[in-house]
Amino acid sequence: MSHALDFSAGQLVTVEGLTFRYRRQTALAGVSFAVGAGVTGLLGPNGAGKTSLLRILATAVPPNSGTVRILGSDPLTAAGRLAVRRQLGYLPQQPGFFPNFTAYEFIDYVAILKEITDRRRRREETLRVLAAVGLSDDRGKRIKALSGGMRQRVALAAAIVGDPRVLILDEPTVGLDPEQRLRFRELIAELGAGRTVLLSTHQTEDVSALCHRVIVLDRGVVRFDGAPARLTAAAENRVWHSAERSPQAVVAWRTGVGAVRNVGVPPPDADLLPATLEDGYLLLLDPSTATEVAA
Amino acid sequence: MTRIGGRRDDTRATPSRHIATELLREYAEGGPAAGTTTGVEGHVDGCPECRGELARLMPTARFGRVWTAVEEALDEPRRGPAERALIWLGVAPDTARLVAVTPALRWSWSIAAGLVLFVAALVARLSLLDSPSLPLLAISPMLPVLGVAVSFGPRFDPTYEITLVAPVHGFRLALLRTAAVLTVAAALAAAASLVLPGSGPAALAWLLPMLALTLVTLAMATRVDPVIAAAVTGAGWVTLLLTTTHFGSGRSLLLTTMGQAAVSVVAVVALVALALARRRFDEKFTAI
Repeated sequence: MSHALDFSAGQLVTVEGLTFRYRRQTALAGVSFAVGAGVTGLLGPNGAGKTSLLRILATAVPPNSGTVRILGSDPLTAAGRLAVRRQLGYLPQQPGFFPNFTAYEFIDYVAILKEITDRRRRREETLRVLAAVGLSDDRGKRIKALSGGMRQRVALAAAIVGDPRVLILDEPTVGLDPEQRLRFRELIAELGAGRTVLLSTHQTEDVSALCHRVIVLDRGVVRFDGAPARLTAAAENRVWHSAERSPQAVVAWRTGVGAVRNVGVPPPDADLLPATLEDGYLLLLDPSTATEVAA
Repeated sequence: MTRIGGRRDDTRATPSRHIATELLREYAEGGPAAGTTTGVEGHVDGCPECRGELARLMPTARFGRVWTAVEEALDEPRRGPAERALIWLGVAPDTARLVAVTPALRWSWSIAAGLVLFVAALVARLSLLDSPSLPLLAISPMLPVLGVAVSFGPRFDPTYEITLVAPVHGFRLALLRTAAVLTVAAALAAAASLVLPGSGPAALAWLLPMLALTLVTLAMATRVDPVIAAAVTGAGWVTLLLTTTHFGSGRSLLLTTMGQAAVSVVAVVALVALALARRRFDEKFTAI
């Protein structure tokens, strides 16, 4: 299937056979997928290659091999890269700030970086994105005086300057308290309407709450690509309660109520429990059950 | 064109038709209707009803306008001396902002660089060297090299990652920031040269090496981390000084016309290499 065809079919971001080496390690070993509008979650353990993949898509670094098409442009060419950058919002894993800038000054600076040179338009856009992340009243505060959650909102505001069609969010909810995480989910869900949002996370709850699709990466390879419900369904009849850890369990932990929650291949008389996305994810990462779950 | 709307609710008013409230509000707020001053004012002058309506709208509009102006003034980015100087020189405010965030333009950096040069000039003045220009020649060119090292790349620019993926042209940004760093360093070195005992044109012998070393660093930064580029350039400069200078007398080949010509050639070669590699500023992790 050609990339042009993918694009016309609504696949706004397409990657094929991506490989990437970072510090002599293989971070990506032939990753392929295509995504359209909506929020797609990228799930995987540390070192799975999520950040490498997102940095390639954000045009921060080129892959060692493979092809990328974003909104029909090839970011590996100078013209394509510029076209992509004009339509792209990026929240890096560790967003940096000028700590003495106010939130307003920082977003104003980002708007300059995004080629909004007209002062009036820049002001409107700065106020718009700060309002979108709920920071209108705190825009005059210096960034060094803001809490971690508020800084993360400044970073998200920076990402959406210029109303980009593709948003790349690298662990946007990391370090946020539960209430902040819920607010962030709400924001991202709103942003996902009519846009392509690719977000990486360790939190399966984020994926369940936000994403219509999940791609699980492990050691540079795509282990699963589909609806979160499908991954949850793959864990049905594989989660059970017991008084002690069951020998058949791939993963097991004692819950707050004292019983052990086991995930794996249950014994015949097991006290089965409803599965969650996390259960499906854990089974997918275990070599003994991965193939079956991925299928 | 002035829009004369329907009747308000007045049957006594002199004119039979009134200016639409929406238009009056625009006029009061200084919006598009303000451009039709004559039409609005002409009507209001002869229509007590519209005059009353305008008076009712005016205080709110004025308040809104004043409040907006206050908010804008409060939000307006604060500009440091370097940024104000650039704008005064005619640089567009948005470009001035891109340059002003360069770490090497901070006061701390300029003061440190100024102190180093002052000490170098003092040593030259107090020493018995045949060529008192040597200390400045040795030190001045390294200042913008260090400035470039701390101006680009992930180590010192906290916004490196978002700058890298922004559509703003990386090469242009690199040149702008380098030019700013170079200008500050050259101004400081020139000021330090003034205190040297009458060494004539040799007092400015640092100028070409400064330019050459900066260009070499920037050209190398298209391939390697700017800090490594600066370190390699610095090591090369020290080696060159050691091999071409007699430190007892302070005489150096680099202070001769031949030496300066050779440095010029290096500058030109670095400039060509930089121009050829300019695209890498937009695509590689190691560049800006």
